[in-house]
Amino acid sequence: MEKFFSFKDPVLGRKLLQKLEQDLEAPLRFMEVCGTHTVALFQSGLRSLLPEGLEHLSGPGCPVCVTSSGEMALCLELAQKDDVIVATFGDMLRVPGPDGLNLKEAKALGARVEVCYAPFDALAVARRHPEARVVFLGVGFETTAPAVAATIQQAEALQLYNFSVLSFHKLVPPALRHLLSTGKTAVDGFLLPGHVSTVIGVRPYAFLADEFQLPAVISGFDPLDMLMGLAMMVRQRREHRAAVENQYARAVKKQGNRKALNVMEEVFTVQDAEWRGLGRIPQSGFGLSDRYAVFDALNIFGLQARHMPEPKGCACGQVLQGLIRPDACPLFQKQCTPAHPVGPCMVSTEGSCAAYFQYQLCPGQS
Amino acid sequence: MCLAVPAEVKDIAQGMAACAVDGGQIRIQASLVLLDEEVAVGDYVLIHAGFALRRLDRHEALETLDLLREMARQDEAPASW
Ligand code: SF4
Repeated sequence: MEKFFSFKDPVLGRKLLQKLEQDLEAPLRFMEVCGTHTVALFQSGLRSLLPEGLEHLSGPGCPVCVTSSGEMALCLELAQKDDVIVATFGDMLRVPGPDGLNLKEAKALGARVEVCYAPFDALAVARRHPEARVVFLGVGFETTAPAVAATIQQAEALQLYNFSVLSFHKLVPPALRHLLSTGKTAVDGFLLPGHVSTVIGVRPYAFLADEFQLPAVISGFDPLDMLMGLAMMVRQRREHRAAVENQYARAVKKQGNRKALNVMEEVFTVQDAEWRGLGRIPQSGFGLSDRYAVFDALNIFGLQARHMPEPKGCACGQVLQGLIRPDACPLFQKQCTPAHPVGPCMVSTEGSCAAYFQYQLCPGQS
Repeated sequence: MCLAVPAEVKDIAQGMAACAVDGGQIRIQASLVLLDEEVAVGDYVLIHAGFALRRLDRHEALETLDLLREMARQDEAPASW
């Protein structure tokens, strides 16, 4: 890796940390909304080095975690069909549906489930199995949605009509707006997700500063990136400013990625979506546009998105909104562990609960 | 899940790039169809789910590093005057 793409210098990091501590005039609470940040903050050790007055929360930043019970029920329903092969990112295998069953168990019981590294792999599955109907589970934020959109276009070019997508893609800015509108989540700023922003650019976040007077910084994922992002927010607070700033300029252009945005816009249409723990959020998800209806699994199989109850006792909803820390959930570390997850926040390695568990944060420590 | 890895472009053919990750230890293929800019062999790109999403910008990286140093420097010289 060329050294100017690596933001890891520990000496510089220590200085920046001191600076951040100096600048911190009153306790502040920031929230990050990206599972990659969640993990990187723990892994780099940064989380435990932050000054006492700086509290850091993980919001609804893990696409696996925010996939609702009702959506999982549809995935499982499809997996039960004899002629269907469900193709999915590996993270989705262990997300529990409403009655606790997950795709991995369904597979053990005979369902055909294939794990894909990239959505393109699902096209290969469809080609190998012309007798089957291959359904790709479209989960992920704006980072992933263009890849799935381009795959659908490729399916059309190849006339692979035994391929379809069950689209549960979700959008980050409407979720941020929702969090702030409920008035429950109290934060002093957002560390914004770098790779979502690579696609959507800076503008979609403008409302954070304009309407909610909150500092927000798009940040990369190396330790110095995150530290700089936090320091920039602290500085905004100190200077009584609120703006959306871009720390990750090497990967995020102001206008985003036009090509990716265009492909996404052509294939998808924005619609309401159900988020695990947060409920229905207007205009916060992607369904397939009419033009691509022949690749829409909801349409092909006549499925209806529906609301289903969350696993009993799981506090994912509160965790995802930053209302409680994972270790405050009564099931944490007891009934719910990464080996036996009750809720989705414990399933994905990027889930808040799994990250807390893995990095063994002692109860009572922030 | 939004993890994207930086990788060096080693070869380009038919809209696909062969890329090296981690100093060449891992090789991956990435589609270039979602890029809104040209890339060449030797460039670094961000790859997510089999697609390159952005060419990493050297100039911006250096500028960010400068800013970073500047932010960190302020407390090296405490107000001595
Ligand atoms: S610890 Fe388990 S049950 Fe509790 S909120 Fe997290 S995922 Fe849900």
